[in-house]
Amino acid sequence: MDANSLQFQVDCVGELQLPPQAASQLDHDPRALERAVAGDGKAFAELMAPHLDRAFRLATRVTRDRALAEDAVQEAMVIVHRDLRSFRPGTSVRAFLCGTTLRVASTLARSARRRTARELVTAQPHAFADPESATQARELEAALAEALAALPDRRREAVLLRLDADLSHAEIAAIIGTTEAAVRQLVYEGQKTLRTALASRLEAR
Amino acid sequence: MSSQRTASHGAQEDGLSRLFEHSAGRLDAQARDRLLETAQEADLLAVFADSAAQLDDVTRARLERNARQLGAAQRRRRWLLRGAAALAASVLAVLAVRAGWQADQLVITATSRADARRIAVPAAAPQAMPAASATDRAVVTSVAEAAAAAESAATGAALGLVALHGEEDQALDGLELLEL
Repeated sequence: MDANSLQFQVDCVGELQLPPQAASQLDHDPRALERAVAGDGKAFAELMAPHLDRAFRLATRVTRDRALAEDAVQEAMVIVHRDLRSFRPGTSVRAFLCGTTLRVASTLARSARRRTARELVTAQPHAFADPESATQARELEAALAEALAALPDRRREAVLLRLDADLSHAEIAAIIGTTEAAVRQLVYEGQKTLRTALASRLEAR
Repeated sequence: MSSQRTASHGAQEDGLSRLFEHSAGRLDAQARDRLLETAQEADLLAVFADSAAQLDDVTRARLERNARQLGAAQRRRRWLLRGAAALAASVLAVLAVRAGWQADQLVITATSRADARRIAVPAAAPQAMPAASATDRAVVTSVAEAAAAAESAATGAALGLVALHGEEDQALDGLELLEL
């Protein structure tokens, strides 16, 4: 990623106006946030730790490459850290991290697609006990990737933030820059398309 | 949205959620540890993400302390920094040089040519391989090139930096080759 694209992402994140969460629903310890803003690295790691799995899952879905996904989450954390001072109390840390991860991962994935096909490695979702399970998982992952790739960009982003990052419609609306009602429609239409494309696999479960 | 449509929507999401869950990329323990280490040092990473940033004395002292600790832990003359965490690798490269590590070679693997360049150019490469052009000293694309670059670096500098673009197995092979 060059300096310009990184700056673009930083600018995008700076514009995020995520909705506040109720105190009882906060996904982080406000004291850890205060310490992180004050420069405590361990506190920042505490803030990030509960959300790494979702961020990595999202990045893996977008990049289809574990190494690239790890890079994306890492760079997203650096950007989040840089913008921590503008983080409003009560905002979801997961939404902040996952919104940033989606943008970084999308940029890295676009760069990767421009390179040779050899560099695109299918993600390995699990460690499987038997080859048949591994094959089925790879087929499912490939079918999902194909179905997702066929969705329009915003619809795909909305679905991924919903199903992989597990964000609320309001949080997704803030990340992709639209209304909550529009996100509900994007997610609904996106899932409808995916259901049709993956009908046989859904029925098999 | 009508209640009927909401119910249908919920069922639709449940089925897809299970499908997504089943095919989700899982973070393994080692990658989690690497990311948490990155989070703890995010302020330092941010310094190096911006190549124009000037180091203040406090940051410089922290970098040097970290590098000494890492160096003491490694006690090796050659290091392999894996490219899965490219940004961390670039910081480690800087740490190594600033702390005056006396490595023969520092091999950084990267998953792409662009990443390899991004790691090597702003990091230690100019000090490590002063005779080569910025691009040549930064990026190699094969094990043979890595070996050649490292050899030429070793003759002129205490520390050679090679960012090897390729798959991890190749990189490990490359390291073994360099160890010869």
